[in-house]
Amino acid sequence: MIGSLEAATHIAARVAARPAALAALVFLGALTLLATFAGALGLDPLEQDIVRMLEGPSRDYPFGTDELGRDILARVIFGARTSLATAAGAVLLAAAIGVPIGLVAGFFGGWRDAVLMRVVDLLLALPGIMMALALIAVLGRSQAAALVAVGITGVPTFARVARAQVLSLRRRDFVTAVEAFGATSSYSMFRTILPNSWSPILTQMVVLSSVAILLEAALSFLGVGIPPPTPSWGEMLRTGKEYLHDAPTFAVLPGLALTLTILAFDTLGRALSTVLEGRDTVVPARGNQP
Amino acid sequence: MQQTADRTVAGQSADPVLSIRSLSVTFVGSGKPIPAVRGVDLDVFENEVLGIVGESGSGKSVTALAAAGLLPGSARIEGSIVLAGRNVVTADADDLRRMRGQDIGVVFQDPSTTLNPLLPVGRQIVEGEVAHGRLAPVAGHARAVELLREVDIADPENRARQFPFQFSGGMRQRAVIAMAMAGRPKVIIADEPTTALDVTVQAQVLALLALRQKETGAAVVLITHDLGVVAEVAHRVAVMYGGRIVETGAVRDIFAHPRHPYTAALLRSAPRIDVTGDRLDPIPGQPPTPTDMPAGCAFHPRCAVSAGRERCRTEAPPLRPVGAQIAACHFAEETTVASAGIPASARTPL
Amino acid sequence: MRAVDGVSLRVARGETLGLVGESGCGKTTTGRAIMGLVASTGGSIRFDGQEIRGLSRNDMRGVRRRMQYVFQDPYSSLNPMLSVGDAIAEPLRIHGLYDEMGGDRWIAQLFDMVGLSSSVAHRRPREFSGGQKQRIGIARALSLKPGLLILDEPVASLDVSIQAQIVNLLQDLQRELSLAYLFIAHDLSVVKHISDRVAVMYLGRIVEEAGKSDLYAAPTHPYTQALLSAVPVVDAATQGRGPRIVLQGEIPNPSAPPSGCHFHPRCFRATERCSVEAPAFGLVAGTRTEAACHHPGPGP
Repeated sequence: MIGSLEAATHIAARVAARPAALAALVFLGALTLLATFAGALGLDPLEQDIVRMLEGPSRDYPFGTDELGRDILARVIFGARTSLATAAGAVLLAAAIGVPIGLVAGFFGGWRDAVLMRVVDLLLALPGIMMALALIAVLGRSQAAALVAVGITGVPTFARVARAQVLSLRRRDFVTAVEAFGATSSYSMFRTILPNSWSPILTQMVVLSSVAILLEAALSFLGVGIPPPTPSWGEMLRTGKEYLHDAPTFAVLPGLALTLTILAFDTLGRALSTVLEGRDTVVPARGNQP
Repeated sequence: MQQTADRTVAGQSADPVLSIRSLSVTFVGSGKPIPAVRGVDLDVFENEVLGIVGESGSGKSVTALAAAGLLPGSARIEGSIVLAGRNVVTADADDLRRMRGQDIGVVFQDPSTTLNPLLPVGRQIVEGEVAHGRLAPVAGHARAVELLREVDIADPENRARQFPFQFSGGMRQRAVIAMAMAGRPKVIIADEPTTALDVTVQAQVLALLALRQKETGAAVVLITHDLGVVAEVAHRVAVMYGGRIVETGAVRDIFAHPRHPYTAALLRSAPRIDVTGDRLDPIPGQPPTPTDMPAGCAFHPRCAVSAGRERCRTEAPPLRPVGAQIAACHFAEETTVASAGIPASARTPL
Repeated sequence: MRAVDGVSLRVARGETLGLVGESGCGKTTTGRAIMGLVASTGGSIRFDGQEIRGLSRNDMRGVRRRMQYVFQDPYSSLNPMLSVGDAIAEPLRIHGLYDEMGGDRWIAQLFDMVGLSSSVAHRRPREFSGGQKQRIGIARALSLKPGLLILDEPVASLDVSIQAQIVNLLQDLQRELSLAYLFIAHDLSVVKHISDRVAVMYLGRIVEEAGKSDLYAAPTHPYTQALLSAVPVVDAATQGRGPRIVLQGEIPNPSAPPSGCHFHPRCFRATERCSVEAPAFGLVAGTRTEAACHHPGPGP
């Protein structure tokens, strides 16, 4: 346990040593804090101020109000809660389904591999947004449906990452060793291979978070995502674009929040992959061969 | 003093082709500096094979790579390495490039990573000569065939056109030897050249290396962990431990009468095919790592002769003549044949 | 591809059988086939009198308790995520025998048996040197109290001064626990030191098997003779060794071995017959050695 904590601190330190990654980390941390304690700030995303609809920035409403007289700043902050929670749920769901698929396919090979990976390829071949729309059509419009729809589109990625890990780790002696002791297949897969695969899986989780946030926003923008009145960035963009003339500041804040969040997850994902997969280690130049 | 001792041992009158003085190599990176080589003096003469033996972390490969000017930028090099009259340490990139091939050739452990998989073998082995303008590109193939023939590769005409993956491991190492010798360098550095090869193939490659050395009169620096290889191929040997040379002299003298307790213990610890003993006599403990070097004599924590002597713990012993060789031990005189080398009782023939 | 072909081996309790050969000869595959880690397509593997080839996964689990494998590379054979104490206890936990076998006390005893202090049990493998890791690998293999250890090049990746420590440890453990060893190696000196009997493999077949002293003093198969003569020795003067036999060519691709006797293209005694007819493995007349050669006999 102490060892893992040490390793985590070490990795965090190396990620934080990169200025862009540090900025991303600070931004996401602040956003998460804001989203978590949004209620305690005395902001209310649902309270309507009917006389002050579609107002520009003012002392009471620093980013103005929307078409129902609601505080845009409050809605963006509560929207972060929706976005982050949906994305986190979707990514966890994708990993929970995709990783076991990849482990089983890679570990047993043969027909299990062929069947499972064909299904995964099929999922991959369908555009994510199309599949999400189809799923919502079946499940109905709710936050849970959006979460499931976004999560399913992430399954192939985790399946592939996990399968690649199995294939490379199976050649390592410590995996063969466990088999030689008489371990069951599930022990080999879940107790030996999986714990040694955490780094690429973690990296994928961070990278996919940005995709999930974008997809959730897209669904809301199309009007099939999280149902109103729950604040959501995609929903705000959708409504805001109707009032671009009357209240140009309406769509600016949600758009900015969305862009920055996606950028932050992406930057962090890249930094993690460099640090964890050792792509930043300097290969000592051996010079030219004589 | 060292100079004289070395020359007596080598029985050479000429100047050394490679002369290393007070060489220290420290790797500086993100963590603690790693002192891999800590003061090495070494002379290599024409027409001889010098074996450098040592365990992992002894600094043997780093010493050799320093001589070839092949250390990465993170290495801080002190001291001097004079190769054919020029100092490798202060030479710039252009000088180094000129020296490689002409003055020095290198054979690495793993021939499959030394050769470029995308180029025909023939083109690779003459690449250096063509690049240095010593060979016209049109003459390349003929020269490659000649070189491959010299290293006993059958059907060199066709082999020269083939790619490395079409060669077996032993053939690849022969091709690398051909490449290293193409420019008739004065010194050839062979870093564990047969470690990746099977024993029957190792015998072929060692025989070839010895033959080509004799034919060209080059000096060969052979780095290995295998005492048997040194005994069979080398004329002189330098034993390294903890980044220093602890003993050097003629192979015959050192293997018959090791003067440094480490050399003696190393010879005793290896199982031998030509003697039948009951039990091996291991060296206790682990070889030191460069970041965790014992004070005084680096070998003292594992040394039977030292046995807690104050001097071994505090004072690093200098190299000094002992018997026919030179050794770095305060108590080298105590390492006699009886206490070291092969115990007489174990000398039962097959 | 046929990596191993018609190999017969016997290891008795408390005995060490050395299995030597060069790369691609199938010695590791043989060891792994015995453990059931690679599928074998024919033949018989009997352990303690019981046929274990073709056993179900569950029955094989029981057998694996009684024979264990030690890997060549101590760096890759230990799970980097487990502490070394957990690594040694892992086989016990897999079989649900941790408490039954004595729990923490047995683990501490295992550390002691391989010359390590049990106070290091909480550390990760990366904190240990190669030799220490190999000790941990051996302790792990002993945790289920097996009768047979298959040792696959257990000292090949260690420094010379450390090799001797591990070889001595293995010999001590064998004596104390009356273990049987199948010692797979390419280093003929180490094999000679540790084995009672030695089998030599070439391209998937056993070409010669004999008691250690017979095999090293009077090899009958030309390949064994060449192999022995190729080993560089520290002091050639201590023995009346004949001239070195330098074999021509290299080991052919094991997936397309030569016809007849697999060794004939490199053999200095090969005749017409060798290229068409594979020699049977049997006792060489006038010796206690078994070999597969049409022309067995003393050196060239």
